[in-house]
Amino acid sequence: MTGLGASAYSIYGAGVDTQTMKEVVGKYSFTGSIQTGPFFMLELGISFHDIAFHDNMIWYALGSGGENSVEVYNSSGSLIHWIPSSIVPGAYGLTFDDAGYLWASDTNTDELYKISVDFTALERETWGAIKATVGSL
Amino acid sequence: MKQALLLLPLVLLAGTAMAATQIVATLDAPDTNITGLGFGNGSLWAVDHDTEFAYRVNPTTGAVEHSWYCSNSSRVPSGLTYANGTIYISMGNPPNLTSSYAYRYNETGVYQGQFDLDC
Repeated sequence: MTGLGASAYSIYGAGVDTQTMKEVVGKYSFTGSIQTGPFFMLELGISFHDIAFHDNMIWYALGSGGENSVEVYNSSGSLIHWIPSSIVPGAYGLTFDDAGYLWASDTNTDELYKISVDFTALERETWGAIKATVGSL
Repeated sequence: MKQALLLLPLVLLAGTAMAATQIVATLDAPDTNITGLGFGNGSLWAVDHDTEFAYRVNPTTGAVEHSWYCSNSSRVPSGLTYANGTIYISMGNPPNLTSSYAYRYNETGVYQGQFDLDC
């Protein structure tokens, strides 16, 4: 296991299953009792470091040098959101603060980034673009 | 029909939206290989993979308010999280961090126990 995240009730440990080579997330009580087996075990095909658990999704820190530095998956293993490296150059450690800001550590720059993430704004923009496209057809 | 085909990629795009995001603050990291971050009780908590030090960091100023050595004889630290007044640090055997455990510390860095993360 390489990454740890937490919710109000549980600890989440993320790693790669050495037998299946699938990404696995285990769910534990605060004292370490495993709860309902793996939270998920799916082949995401990513290389990651730390994780954060937020809005019932797993946020993976993907390091640096790739197209994305952060990718967000739901419990079914579907990629829901991502943050490109052009905006956040590197992410190794990952967590959310109480105000909803995402924090990432970048071992290349030796910096900690406080990140404002607003998916709803982008989704509004996306639907706005669709409406504009429909209107022009 | 052509219009429907033109719209399809946009509809699919809306289902997996890229994050509208920006960095709003940058702090100097407390060490040079911070691979685990957590937040709790108003502080950032960090762990360094190489030096094996854990840090309590002021999230406004970046000042280190406390630190402790969390070395394990064979395992090295990787991830970190904070919950219920406890700092959890994952440590595994290098290079692939196998046989991982979560090590529990209170806010002053006193070891509280560990549990197996291999599920």
